[in-house]
Amino acid sequence: MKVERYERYFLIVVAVFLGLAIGALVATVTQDHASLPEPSDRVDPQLVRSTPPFDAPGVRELDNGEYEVVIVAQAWQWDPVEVTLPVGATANLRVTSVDVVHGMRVPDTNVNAMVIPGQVTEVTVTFDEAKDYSLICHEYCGIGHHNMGGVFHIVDEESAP
Amino acid sequence: MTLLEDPPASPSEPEPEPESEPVKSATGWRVDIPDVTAADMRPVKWQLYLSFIGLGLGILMGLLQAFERNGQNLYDEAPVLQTYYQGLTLHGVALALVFTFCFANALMPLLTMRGLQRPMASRAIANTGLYLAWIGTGLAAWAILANKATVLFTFYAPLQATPAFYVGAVFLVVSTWMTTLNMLLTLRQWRRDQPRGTRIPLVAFACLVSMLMWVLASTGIAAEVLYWLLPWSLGWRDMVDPQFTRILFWFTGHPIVYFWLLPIYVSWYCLLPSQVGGKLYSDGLTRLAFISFLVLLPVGVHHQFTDPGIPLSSKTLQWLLTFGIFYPSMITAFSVFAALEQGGKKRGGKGWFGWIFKLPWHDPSVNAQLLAGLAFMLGGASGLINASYTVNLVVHNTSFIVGHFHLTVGTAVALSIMGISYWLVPYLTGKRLFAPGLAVAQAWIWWIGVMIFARGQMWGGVDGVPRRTQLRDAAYYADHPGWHWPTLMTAIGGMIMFIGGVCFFVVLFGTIFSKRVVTERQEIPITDVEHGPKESWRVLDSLGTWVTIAVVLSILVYGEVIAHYWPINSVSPGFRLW
Repeated sequence: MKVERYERYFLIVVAVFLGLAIGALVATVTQDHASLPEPSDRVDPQLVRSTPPFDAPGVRELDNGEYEVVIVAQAWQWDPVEVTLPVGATANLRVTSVDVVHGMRVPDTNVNAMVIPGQVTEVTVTFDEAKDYSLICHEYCGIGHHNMGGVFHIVDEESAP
Repeated sequence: MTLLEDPPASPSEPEPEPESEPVKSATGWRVDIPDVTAADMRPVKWQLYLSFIGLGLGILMGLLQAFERNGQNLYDEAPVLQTYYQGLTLHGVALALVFTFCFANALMPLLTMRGLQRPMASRAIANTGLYLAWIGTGLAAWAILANKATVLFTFYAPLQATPAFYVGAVFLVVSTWMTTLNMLLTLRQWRRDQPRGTRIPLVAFACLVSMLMWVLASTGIAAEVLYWLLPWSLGWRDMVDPQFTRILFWFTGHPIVYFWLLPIYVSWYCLLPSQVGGKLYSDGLTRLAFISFLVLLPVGVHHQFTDPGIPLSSKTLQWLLTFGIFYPSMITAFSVFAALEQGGKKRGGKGWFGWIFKLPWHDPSVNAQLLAGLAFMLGGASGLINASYTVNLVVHNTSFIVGHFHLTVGTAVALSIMGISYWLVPYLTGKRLFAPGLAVAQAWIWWIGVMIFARGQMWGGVDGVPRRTQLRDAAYYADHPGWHWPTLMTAIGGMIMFIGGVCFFVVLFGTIFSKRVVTERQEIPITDVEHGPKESWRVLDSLGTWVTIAVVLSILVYGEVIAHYWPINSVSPGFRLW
């Protein structure tokens, strides 16, 4: 089949470009430890409130100095709606929904994950700055969707709880 | 001269068309497709008009959304509508399903008829497709306007719409299946009349591959709706699995964007070069580009990088396959640019860039499609960002995505459809295009609008603005002062787009209701090819081979997803939270 010279060069350049892009993205995983959510547990959405750890949403400090933050999503609020953590804290978020699909985005961090009834979403995040980070529901979940916001208060070590 | 008046038939009650002889006239379809009659053209025309109704409704809703971004909630005053999200559902359904599907239902059979030089094989199938499209649109529109289906056009379970909504969506999809079936039957008739081994004319080939791609792609949503969501909405099934139905949705939900785009690709490859006085370079690479979209169906998981229920193996595999799609897109960029450059140089353009200015920008159809292509370069580049595995974490479900697809489907596709309409409506009606100057201005207004709009959406998205959210009333809006300017840009850009849209409808109605008829010979502009089918591989024409490869690849790739996901986790009853 006839492929003209310039077209062949062009297609080679595109292939090289794609190769570089793939390489850069592999580096975000291997060097920068960016990660996507992957399957953990399943849970019956109607029994969430009586299933550990979702029977007691909130913050727990783990033995290794990290924090586990358990959050229940429901239309149209996060439970708990406010979480306070010390600056530099690494938090393992465990989130599920009791009703419809929700989504969580914390701007200025890599937290971006769907919260789907029947599935447990796990995300690890380190908060680098002492400030308030918004927790935003970014999937339409009914008429009050835009009211579904929460806050991570990240505070200096002295004033931590 | 006099033109035969097309009967103003209502789509639900077609007038019995006498088995008439082909009408002889000097213009339009009457001269460039042998043996066609007004009855063959009626489904084309009424699918096109339904498509415009979808566009009109969508644009109207877009205006309300632009006002919302400016802090003015007009939903309380608007008739019928109650909420932002109801309007947003209508916006999505009218544009993503009705506008695009019905346009494909109109253009693809028409170009197939032109390519194969014969009418569609079955008028009954064409008319069935037409009725299904109108009835389906009617059902879905009723469900949405009655506020019984405020589930957005993605209708993620367990939000549960009224059954009429799902039935309407099914009818719209089945109407596209009818179109495809009819095109295949027409191809079979054509093959019988040709010597063995005759190459399928390029334009008909491109249309057929596009429709076959979509039929395979739509099986995901068909299974989701027919087996799970519709019975569940009717009360015959108690529970569905929200994660699994999302997997099925996105099996279709990615290639649906190819289905929006491919009719435009057909125009860019097979018509636009002739409209600018150039030639398409390679028949073979064109066929290969269309086949790539058919084969690279199973990439939907790249819309679900952040879903908890899908393993990293599936996400990685489909990420790489998605990058493969970039290849046919770049082939397209090269081929279309080469054809345009050739056309511009024939018109006296000199040097590296001089040909650009010699292109017929004064031709409304060319102008709109050139601007559409310009937007598509940015749209395609931002698509690569969305598909980029970990980088997707920055933009997933933010307004960045909205900016992206208003450059692609919202401009590359929509503005091209407007441009195509500028020859298609005169071609079908025999009426002269009304106010060509306004038609040129219209495309510029839309384009300038979308540049501002998309810049605002993308800027906001990177800073965390969520998509599909009544933003100005959001609990957290005030906590993000940085969102103010991007949101305002979105509002202003959207309003400018609306003005561009209104101008399109002025031209459209002006043309349809014009008294001035076309007198000169008028044909579908089909391009010549520099390196014709004789130089391209024969196997490219073997539709069965490529469909088989696409099916096998889809089964393997999605088999991997489902094998990891199994068993299905049906835990969710329906919710109506609006």
